[in-house]
Amino acid sequence: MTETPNRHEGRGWPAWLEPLRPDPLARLRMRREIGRRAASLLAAARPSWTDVASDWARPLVPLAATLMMVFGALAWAAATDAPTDPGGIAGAEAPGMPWEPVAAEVTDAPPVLLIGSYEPSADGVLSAALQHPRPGSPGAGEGR
Amino acid sequence: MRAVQRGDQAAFGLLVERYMDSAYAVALSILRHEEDAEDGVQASFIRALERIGHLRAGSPFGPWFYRVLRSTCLNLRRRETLRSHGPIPPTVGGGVDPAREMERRGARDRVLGALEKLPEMQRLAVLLFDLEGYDHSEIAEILEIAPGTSRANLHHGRNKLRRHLESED
Repeated sequence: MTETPNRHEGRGWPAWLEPLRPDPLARLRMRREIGRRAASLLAAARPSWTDVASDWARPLVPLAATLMMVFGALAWAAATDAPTDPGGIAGAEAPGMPWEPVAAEVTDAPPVLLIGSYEPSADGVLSAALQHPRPGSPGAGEGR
Repeated sequence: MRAVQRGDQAAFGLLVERYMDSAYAVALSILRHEEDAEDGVQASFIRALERIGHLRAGSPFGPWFYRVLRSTCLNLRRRETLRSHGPIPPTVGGGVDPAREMERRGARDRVLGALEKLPEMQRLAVLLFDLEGYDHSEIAEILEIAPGTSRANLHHGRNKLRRHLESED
């Protein structure tokens, strides 16, 4: 809002309208009465500290909105990149040999490799025979 | 203007000083009585202050204020509370020379008498043009008429006013 300048201010009040000017007393009365009646309106129009704070905060609203959008987009991108299928890892092929056939061997077949490669020592056989003699063999009654 | 909207008393005081004399002349030409004109000016400033939030950003205050002034004075004139238009009471005040005061009042009555003979639109067009230097688009906005009508009002008003004032000389 702008105040319109009086375009006659340079040359003053027009002479023929000079008699219509208010006299000093009328001017004083009007000024006083306007001031008295305007005081309460102007006091009500004065901003409180909350108005001032909101005035200051208002320019920050677009910035806050932009930041929220950016962080929202980042969060969304992170959520879509993360693995959501729990079988994803288990189902992935491991490099090298497949593990499922091995598991089948472990559960269904005896550990052939371990049994076949075991060869008891002579001392072990002897000590076992002494600790657990067969019934009817010499020395079986002594062991009990 | 923003300062006035925020309740700045000094800024409002500047507006009052800037427009008070012209507003009084316009109000006097409508109400034809000094005390009524004072009431009209006071009420117009208060009404303008109450509604200053409605003034669009960037719009000039002057034409808008004169629109408020005109409607306020017309409302006052329609009411029956106006003072009777008897003889204008002499101003009581210290230091006023009675002879000069009589002379001033005589001149005022003469100008007001000549203005009274004009239709209202012509009278206001002449006053707004001569007091504020407004162009026809601004006068048209204040009086809510077309700019061409404002131009015609000013032309006819000036001619009639000149004739009336010359006939009284």
